[in-house]
Amino acid sequence: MSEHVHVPDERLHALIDGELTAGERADLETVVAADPYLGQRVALFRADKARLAGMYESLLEKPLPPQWLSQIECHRASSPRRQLFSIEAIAGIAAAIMLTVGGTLYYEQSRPHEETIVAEALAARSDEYPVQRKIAVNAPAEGVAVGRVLSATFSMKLSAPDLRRMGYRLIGAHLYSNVPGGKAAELLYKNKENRTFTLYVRHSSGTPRFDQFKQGRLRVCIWQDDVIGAVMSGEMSAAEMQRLASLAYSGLEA
Amino acid sequence: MLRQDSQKEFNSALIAQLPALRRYAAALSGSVSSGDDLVQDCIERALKQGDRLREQQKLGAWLRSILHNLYIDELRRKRSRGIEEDITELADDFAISVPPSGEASQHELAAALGSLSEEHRQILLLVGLEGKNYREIAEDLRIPIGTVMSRLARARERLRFALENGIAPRSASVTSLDARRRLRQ
Repeated sequence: MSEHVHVPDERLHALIDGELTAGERADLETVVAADPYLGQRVALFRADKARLAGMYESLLEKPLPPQWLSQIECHRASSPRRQLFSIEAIAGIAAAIMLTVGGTLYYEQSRPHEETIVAEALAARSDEYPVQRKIAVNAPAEGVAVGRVLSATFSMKLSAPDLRRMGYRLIGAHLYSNVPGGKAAELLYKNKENRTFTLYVRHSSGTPRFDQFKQGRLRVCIWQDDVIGAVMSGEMSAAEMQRLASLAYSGLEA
Repeated sequence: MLRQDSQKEFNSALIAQLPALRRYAAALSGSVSSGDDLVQDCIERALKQGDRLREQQKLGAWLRSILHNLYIDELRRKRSRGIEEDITELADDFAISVPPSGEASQHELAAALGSLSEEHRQILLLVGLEGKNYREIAEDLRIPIGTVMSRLARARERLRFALENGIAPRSASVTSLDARRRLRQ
């Protein structure tokens, strides 16, 4: 006859998953510690859970296939269906082709190098570039003024993202006029633990991109569409960066 | 269709979810390439149905739900074709699907996971990979918490059994079929 204490499996798993109250957990841990059979079961299930958590982890840092980003970007540009082959439509298509050809020629001449944006952002974070203008932000409302400066700098409607929902507040901005990519801005955020999150912004190099990597303790996320390129960096987990990056990127155009 | 501002916000949130969704899809299907195909289809469906999402903070769960449905549809399609599978090859398919940096134990884990039912694999991944708590899972899957607990307990027990006994995947899966096809090309 078995001598080990019977504990329902669901309860053991609730212990492993942190689903018990402090009192329940303490009671059950005492029971488990006193029973080698239960102790071994809990240890094995914990190990399986930890192995599952590490499965395909490298995918979190692998660049996303560009066709996914293009697919989403194309959807952004979609508009209600137009009547085909009207005079206006044909004229519009012709104008669009001319603009595209002209724009491409201009763009090819003026586009910043693809990979430099990451190097620029990290150099800016390390204070390696001379700052043309420093802006201190002392109150959340002053973020609006930073947004105006960004809009003027890049000649498009931009805002300074409000990241307070994620515990980061805007403390300042650095403007650069002569980095390899032309004009750039770095927004600086701090959280309660004094950790810094930076959002480096400049005109896009043209290739849609979304990926993140880790450099030492710093996690870096590159998010670029066909207009704006952004590099976000901070000491945090991939999951936290994912949430912050989403908030920051959408906040730029809010 | 969403309004332009909402669409932009939706698109940004969607992109931010993709790395985690990609990992979930790979673990669910057992291979990165099959997972990527699922994510691609999932993006297409999400863009079409974005206006049905009521709460933006539920985007992750909504995407996983779309992806899971796509995965089940794909499995049914493949099973209905009645392709015979060689169980010894299936284990290899799972093994090659794991990134090369993974250790041998990761190969075993992928194979053991592939031997479970889709329902059990799903709940294991929601807890183990996505870090969801029981309440969140119950809401996402629209089942009682008690069912979450019992299903999870059975799934972990079967995973452990498969790991201890070296059980290979039990039936045809999207992963194995795709991997075999690629190998033969």
